Amino acid sequence: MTARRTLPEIGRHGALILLLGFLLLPVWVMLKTSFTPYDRLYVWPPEFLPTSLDLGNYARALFGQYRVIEALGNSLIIAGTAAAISTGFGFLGAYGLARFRFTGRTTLLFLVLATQMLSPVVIVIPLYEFMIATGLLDTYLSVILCDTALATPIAIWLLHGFLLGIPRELEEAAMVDGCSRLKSLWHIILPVVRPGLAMTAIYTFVHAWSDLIFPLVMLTDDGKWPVTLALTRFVGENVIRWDYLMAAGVVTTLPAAVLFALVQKHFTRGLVAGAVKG
Amino acid sequence: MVALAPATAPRRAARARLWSPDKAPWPYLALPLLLIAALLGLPVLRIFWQSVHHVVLTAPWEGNDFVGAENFLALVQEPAFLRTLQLTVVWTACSVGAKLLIGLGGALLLQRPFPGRKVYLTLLLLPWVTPAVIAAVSWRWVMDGQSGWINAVLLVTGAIREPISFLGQETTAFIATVVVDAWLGIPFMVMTLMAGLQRIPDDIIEAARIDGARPVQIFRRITLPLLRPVLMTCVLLSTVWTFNSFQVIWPLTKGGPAGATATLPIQIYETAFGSFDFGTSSAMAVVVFAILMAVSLLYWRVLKGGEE
Repeated sequence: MTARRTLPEIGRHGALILLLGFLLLPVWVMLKTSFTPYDRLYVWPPEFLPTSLDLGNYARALFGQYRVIEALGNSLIIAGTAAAISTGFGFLGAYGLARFRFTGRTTLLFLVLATQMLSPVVIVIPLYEFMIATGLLDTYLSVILCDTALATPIAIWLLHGFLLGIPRELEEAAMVDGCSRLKSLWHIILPVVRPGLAMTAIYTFVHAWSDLIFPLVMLTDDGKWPVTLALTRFVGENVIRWDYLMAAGVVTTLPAAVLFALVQKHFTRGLVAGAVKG
Repeated sequence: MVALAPATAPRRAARARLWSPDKAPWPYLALPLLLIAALLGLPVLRIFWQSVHHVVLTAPWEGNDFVGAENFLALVQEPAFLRTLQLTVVWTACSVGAKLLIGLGGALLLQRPFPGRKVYLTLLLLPWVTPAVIAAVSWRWVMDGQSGWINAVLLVTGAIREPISFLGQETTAFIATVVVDAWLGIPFMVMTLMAGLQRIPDDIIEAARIDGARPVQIFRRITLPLLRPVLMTCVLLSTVWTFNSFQVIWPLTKGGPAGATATLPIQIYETAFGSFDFGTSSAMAVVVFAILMAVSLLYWRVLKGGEE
């Protein structure tokens, strides 16, 4: 390679390494701190590399007095239910919008997209009153409903795009053969759209898993707190348990990251190509 | 529905058609639309209703009188609110600007295949998959005023003598919250802008290069105009998300010190769930609606204008 081509390559890698250094800094610090015992957090000179792979912080954060394991369970209940409902409803809505032509269709699509402008902080105010009125305040269901409300439009939008990518001929052929629409929906569309459903479910799950504002407002009973809210337990009057906090942070990030990796695979598989092949 | 009217045959047939899963979309749309109407539509109406009423949840004896524009007038006459508004706009502009510049740079560097690209792309996604609260907490530790890593590095290299309390001073706290918010949003920018860049046909750029155009010229005259629709959409989405951002600032500073990072969402939360003044907080929410609506309309006009 000549110098004329090598020099820009070095520049490219230099710039990218700088960018990644910035992007990875807090992740690296979180990992490093999660393995560091409390009494070594404030040593001088500071340590930038892990000195041991001590899992004590993880064990004590998860199972000790801070009960992060219980909060992870709460997060799983809330995010899992919200993802299931919004993906199911999202599929129904997306199917209606993608496979029928009717007046008001574009308006509905626009309204679905417009919900993205709503800030959770804004919408939580009337929802809080709604939960008081229905006696749902301080239950899992209150947070699940809030997360579902915001996630369903996104699910409709995502799956609408997916369904448009599936050729109509697939079902039309079946319907010509005397298959009812519901039957062709079940036997033909559903298998093809499964990657889309998985992607939508994961997306909505990660959204609800990461949410802070709804549990912050709705849940006073700390036994029901999801993990994002439970992290505040490590912030004491005078001292913040960074060691436990970072271990809990790693444990909270891991499921989201792994799930996202799964979605990536579906993306790369080439959806439309796979759909036509069957 | 019209259950009391005598159901004549054609009407019954029409109704059957309306709810036939073979012919009409409504059997599919009914449930999701009902959910959205009940949990998003009604709440939005409720916010508009409350914004013109006196509603203090903890003082029910004061009643819920119609007050007209009083809530809004009170906001406009309050210098603190105007400061908050200004702060939110500047904060959003800084964060979106940083995301856009770094995101576009990253997308340009990563759009074509080269050895090691996959590694960069994979690592790049990490901030995207990190829950905002976790990112904020982790950054709070990185920027800790006593033994955070930034202070440690600056002290070790001798750049400073005393540790800096980044989140404890107004200017640095403002910058810090922008940095963390930008950190979270950069991967989205890089990925979408890269997808946009890859849609630009190679032969146009190749033709320009053969005609003797310099890289800067190609970028300004060809790449940027063709990228415009994607770019604009990215900026709009990012602006809306950033303007509404709560989960970054709250765990970092809770709006402090001295309100230096108290953007509108923080202020709305404080007003609603700190003082339980739902009337005033709803009025603020309506202001947020209006601003985001204006931004969207502007986006629409600029985008349409670009196509003509």
